[in-house]
Amino acid sequence: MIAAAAKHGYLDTRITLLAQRLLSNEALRRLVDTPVEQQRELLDRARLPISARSGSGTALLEPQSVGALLEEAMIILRPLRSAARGLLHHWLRRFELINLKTILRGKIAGWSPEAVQGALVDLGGFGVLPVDELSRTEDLLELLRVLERYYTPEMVRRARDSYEETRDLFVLEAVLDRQYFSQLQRRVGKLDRAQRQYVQPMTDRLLDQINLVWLLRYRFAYGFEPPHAYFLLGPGGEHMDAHTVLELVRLESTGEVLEKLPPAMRLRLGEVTSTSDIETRLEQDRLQVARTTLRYTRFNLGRALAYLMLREFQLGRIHIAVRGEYLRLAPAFVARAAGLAPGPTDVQARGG
Amino acid sequence: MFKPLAMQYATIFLVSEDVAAASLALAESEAFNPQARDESEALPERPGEDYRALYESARGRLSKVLSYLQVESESEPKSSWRRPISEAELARTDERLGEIWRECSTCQQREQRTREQRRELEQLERVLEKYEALDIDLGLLHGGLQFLDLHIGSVAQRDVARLREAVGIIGYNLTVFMSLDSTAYVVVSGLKGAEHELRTVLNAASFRHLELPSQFRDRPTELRKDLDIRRQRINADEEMLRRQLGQARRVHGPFLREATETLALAAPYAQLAETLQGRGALVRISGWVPEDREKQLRASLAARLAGRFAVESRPPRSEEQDQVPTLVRYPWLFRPFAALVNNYGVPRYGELDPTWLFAITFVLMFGTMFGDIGQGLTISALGLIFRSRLKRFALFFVLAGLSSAGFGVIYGSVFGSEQIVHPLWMSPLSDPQRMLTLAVYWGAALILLATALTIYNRIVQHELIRAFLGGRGVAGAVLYVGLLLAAHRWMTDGPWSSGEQLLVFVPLILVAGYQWHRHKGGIGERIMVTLIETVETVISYLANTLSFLRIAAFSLNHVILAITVFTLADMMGAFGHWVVVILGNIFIIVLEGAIVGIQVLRLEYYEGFSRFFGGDGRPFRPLVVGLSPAQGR
Repeated sequence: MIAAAAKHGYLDTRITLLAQRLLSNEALRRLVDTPVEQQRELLDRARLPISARSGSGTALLEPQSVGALLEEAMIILRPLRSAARGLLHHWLRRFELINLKTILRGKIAGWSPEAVQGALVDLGGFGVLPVDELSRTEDLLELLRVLERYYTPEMVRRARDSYEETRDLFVLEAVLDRQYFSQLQRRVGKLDRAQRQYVQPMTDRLLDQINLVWLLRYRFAYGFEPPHAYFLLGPGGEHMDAHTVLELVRLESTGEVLEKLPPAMRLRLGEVTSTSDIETRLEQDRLQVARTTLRYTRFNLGRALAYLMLREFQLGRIHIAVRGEYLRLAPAFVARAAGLAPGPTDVQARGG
Repeated sequence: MFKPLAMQYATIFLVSEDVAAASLALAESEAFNPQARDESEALPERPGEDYRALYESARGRLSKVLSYLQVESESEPKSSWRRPISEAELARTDERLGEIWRECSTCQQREQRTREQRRELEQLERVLEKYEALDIDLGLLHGGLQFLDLHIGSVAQRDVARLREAVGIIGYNLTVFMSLDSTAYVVVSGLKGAEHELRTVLNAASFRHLELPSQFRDRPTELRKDLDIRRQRINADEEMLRRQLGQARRVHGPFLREATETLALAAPYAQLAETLQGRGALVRISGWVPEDREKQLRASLAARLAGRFAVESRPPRSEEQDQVPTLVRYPWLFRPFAALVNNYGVPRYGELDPTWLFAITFVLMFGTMFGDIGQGLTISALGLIFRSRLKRFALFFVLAGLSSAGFGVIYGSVFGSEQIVHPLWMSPLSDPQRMLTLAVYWGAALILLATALTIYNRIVQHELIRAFLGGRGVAGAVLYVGLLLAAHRWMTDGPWSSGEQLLVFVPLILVAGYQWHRHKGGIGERIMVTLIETVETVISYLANTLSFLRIAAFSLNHVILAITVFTLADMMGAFGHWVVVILGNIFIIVLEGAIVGIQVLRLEYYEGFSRFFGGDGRPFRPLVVGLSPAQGR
């Protein structure tokens, strides 16, 4: 304990201070009910310099929230070294993956480079991809050629072959996702055991969530054959390991898959049956683990990852709440969209 | 020289068809820094947006094509008459560049395929070499089999395990028979009936079928012939691509040079697009112009637009201070130092420019730390000899060397020897304590000067409370003087008078009060922050002063190094003596000279600049003709 405190004392203090920025569910719920003009106080408590009344509507909300998150991440990364730093850095590269997918979608939809760039999140020093060069490419093949400088040739070739075979963007995205999650798992594996015990429960739950949700989508929404679906899925998590996924991928309906899930996973899901509800439930479960790690453990890297996960989730909710209020949507509808009030609600616009 | 030039905010009104000509006129004057527009209801249109989008597209394409075809072109137009580029002409250029790029992109894609084919062929050769001697009829494998579905090919090594599990679902086996680099060569086999499922997963894994020659087993000569044919085909493809590239270079070269010129002329308009506002035929351009260049700007516009424009100008408003660009004109003597100051940052508009202070103190500090007539003159001579390589930094070397030589006269040192010239003052080693005292004076003087500049800059920025009560304001400076006096009394066992005590405690209370006033928050947090910030102010003054002791340390170090060289030299014979003296002096000039240079720079940046110079000003970036935007000059 003393060694951990000496090693992670600064990080721990920082995380404890940052954690004060996390709003409770009640505060978030209140944000949904508060008019835009009076949201300032709650947003100040969350230390978010965002506003839907800044003259540009809600267009700046997302970049502002991601910017705030990355600034905090810079503070968290500062005292970290080697494997720990590498893991959190990789975690933040998810935003770069999101940018890359936006560029890919923009290319396929024929957006102008300016439109593509306008839709990207500014990652500051976290990004390595040349987004300007990528967004100015004139077709997907040229884009993949540029990407070859940043990913392995095999991976880019597979992305190209997959795209040429199916012309489906999500196959290309699946290749990128799989690479990302495999690297995440490898980076968790590189941590020493003392740190891994706090980090792995969260990353394992994330991998479980990704694998189950995408298994259902590949098999029953896109109609992929079992081997194809299995191949596209990411590395195994806590319950959705390779053996389980191999069993589940052969089944013929969502109901069968849910029935054959490991008991612990079934318990987590309760009675939900739709893929989107499953995703929400598993995400909540992962965030609960993050909350527990943040609240009840001390002096470890898991707290940093937990904070980043919770903060990102919360920024997303705040984003929905502020935008919903700006668009004058019914609070109940906004609350449901933000995952703050489960259950069907009347969808009514307040007009104006 | 001491302050950035006074700027005027200029607003130019003109008709939309003259914008291209106006942008050229502004660029030719090199005196106009466009200012991003603010929202205006009176002028809601953005007339330059289409032009800018076209320019960006054409610029991107040109850059890719030039790089791919390796065509050299000038970034500034050659012709003396600069014609405005219309949107239609820019669109034609962009379209043509698009066609050329598509041609190049196809070639690039083919090049990539050919590279992959060559790599696969080389790997296939290695596979076949290995299995040639074995008694396995691989030739059978691509023949039609009644019950067995067999595939031989390659996949990425990292996908093997996953693929094996995936094909296992439909009853197939995957066996790796060879691994090369990151590629695994595998046999996938299973009963017929699930070929479709297998195909989808193999495609997803980017499985490459091995094209085995049918003669593989029985006729090695034929096999070699087959591989040679494939290689020749690849060579021929590559040769054809090379020829195509050469031809493309010849065919498109003239157009690409013409396009470069067109884009160089279009660049000012494209850069201006961010600032253009309009309604109907009326367009407004806004930006900054140095006060003393305004006439020139008007003349340049008049020459192009023949009176079809109106210019309004006014001094910057106080709320615009952070938007005004900074332009400082330096005498030639200070130019190399300006580059080092700009390396740290650009002064804000209205702030004092620290280049003159930097230049004087750098040269003097370098001399103090590296005082030697011979070595100093050598540094100056090297600056002159390599002036064409060092360019503007040659002067920097000359001045630093002359300062070193000057202090060499004061210390009585010639190439490390103190026997040749009698010191004007003393050798540093003869009284190290006096050198240390000198270093503290250096530090105190520079810190007080830096604090005085901070106070001035804050007053200019209308931060009066901070200027008078801040840790780096008047209160901080008085506190520092009080602390220096207290330290002096303590060291000399002199009486610390009540007046001198007041010099410490009154400003200390004022600084603490200011910190209290500045920080909002809970009472506990406020007490903590005030305490820490006040203590930090005191400590940083002391630490910064002590930091200057390195001036003395390096001057002593310089003498000790010289003594070491001469001691070693005296241990040698006559020839060896001079060899050691020469090599030792080279060592001192190169290594110690560089270290002293870095230390002085460090003192300037961290103990000097960081006190008074934010360096967050905006450099003046005039509109210019050419593809690369010019830096502030």
